[in-house]
Amino acid sequence: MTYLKFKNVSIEFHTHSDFLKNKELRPTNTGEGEQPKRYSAPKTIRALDDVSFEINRGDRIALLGRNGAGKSTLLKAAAGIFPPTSGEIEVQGEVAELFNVGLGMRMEATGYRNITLSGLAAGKSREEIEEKVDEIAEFTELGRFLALPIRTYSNGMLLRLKFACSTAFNPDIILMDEWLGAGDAEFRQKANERLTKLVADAGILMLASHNKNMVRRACEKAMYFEHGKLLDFDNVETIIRTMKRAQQQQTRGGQGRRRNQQSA
Amino acid sequence: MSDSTITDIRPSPEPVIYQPKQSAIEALKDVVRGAKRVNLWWALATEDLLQRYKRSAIGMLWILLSFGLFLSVKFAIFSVILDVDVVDYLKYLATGYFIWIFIQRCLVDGCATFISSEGWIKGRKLPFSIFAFQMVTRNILTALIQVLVVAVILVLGGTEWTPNALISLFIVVILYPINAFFISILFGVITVRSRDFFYLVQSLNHIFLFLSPVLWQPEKMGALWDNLLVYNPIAHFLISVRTPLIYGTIPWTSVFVVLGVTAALGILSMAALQFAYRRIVYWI
Repeated sequence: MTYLKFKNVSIEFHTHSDFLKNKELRPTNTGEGEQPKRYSAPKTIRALDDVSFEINRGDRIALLGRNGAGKSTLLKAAAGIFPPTSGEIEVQGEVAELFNVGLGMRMEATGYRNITLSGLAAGKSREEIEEKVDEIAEFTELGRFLALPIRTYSNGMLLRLKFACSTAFNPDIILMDEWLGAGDAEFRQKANERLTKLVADAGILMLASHNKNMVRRACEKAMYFEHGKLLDFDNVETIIRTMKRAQQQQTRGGQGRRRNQQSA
Repeated sequence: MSDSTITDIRPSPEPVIYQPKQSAIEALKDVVRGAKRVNLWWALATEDLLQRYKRSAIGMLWILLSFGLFLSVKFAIFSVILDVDVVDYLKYLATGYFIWIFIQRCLVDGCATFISSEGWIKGRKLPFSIFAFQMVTRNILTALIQVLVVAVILVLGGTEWTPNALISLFIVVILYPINAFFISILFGVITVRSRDFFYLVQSLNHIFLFLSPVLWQPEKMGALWDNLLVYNPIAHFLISVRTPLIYGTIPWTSVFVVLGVTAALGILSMAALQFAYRRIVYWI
């Protein structure tokens, strides 16, 4: 039984208090008068704020929200990379992490070698990896390039390799961070098919993205984040509407403030 | 791509729970979990070596060459300066320099244990000790190449073998890797928090070559050795291996110092990992 539970999860980052450079971090401007305010570095950043949810097999969830809303932090917390500051995360199922393309790859090693390394990192035995190598190679369609160091690859090629490696061993939970965008249309199609198949087969997909079309295609439910808080969890269309409304309000609010400042 | 592979039915793994509390022996558990991933750290270590010599024609032969070259030059100059028996000094220098290279690589690389693996630490939840095992393995493999030079010199130099050489063997084969592992955890954790430590170790590294009995012999240093240099633990790592091997006697003081340092490093490194366990990923 595959599931992912967050119970009142908060994550706080402590920024390095660099006492030697403290002077530079003080606000240089208070925001009074014509000039916009400049900030000093915060001591702590609350990246996730009391987030609770439970998702189960077959769920395809999109994480929506502006940059810095906590989407990537949530994915990394679900993967066990960021331990929670408070609360509890419970995961059942094998997790596949598809974060930044370069993470966990050796740029000087060949494509084939990276397939092996990524299998080993996922805890597979050499035999299990050997069984899958040809299938992974075929899925990437990289052909002879697989025998070259991956530093020679384009972003799209790296994406193909990473995606094929991460999804080859039938993970139960797929965590993806704004991703498929870099691939060409044909590969996106292929990747989507594989994702759908993996999830339909008792899996979970969590996809952080700003691409609304991709979200509509790949997910059925969505979470909306703002400043680390989970504001809304509903079906995709409802959340996208909520988001639009919130953004319009913010834009209007921002213009209003600016007008006020000018007249003052 | 065959469809059948995607619908394989596998038993579900046990649920994993991440929470703010951690076990009192989290560091030890990490070491055990890391040790089991031998396939991964072996692959990473060999990858490190292959990568370092990738675009060179003679590849890892450079390890041998550069070691031999350094040794020759040091021997040519210091055997004259120090006015010693040439064959004896060559054996002494070769063994000492071999050990020194291993120790200093472990100290310097140890600092980079975690910072050089940032991409792996942030990309997937893995036992931290994997990267320490990787570092130790890489340096042992390098040493296995260099030891050939030392072996040739010792054999040609007509060394008399005594059972006491087994002490040297025990220290080199068992205690050195263990200490290297502890160092890479301890220094690795400290460097993640403060990069200054890395630069400190790098600077001290050159100084300690002269503070350790690599080029010179303790007997000839008189009061300087008795009052100062004898407190350098690295000296005892050198002596405890070299003296039984070349002279057939056991320097008990040095052996006990090495055992003591091993125990101390073990405790310190596990305490550091335990303390930093949940912080490493945020600090890095």
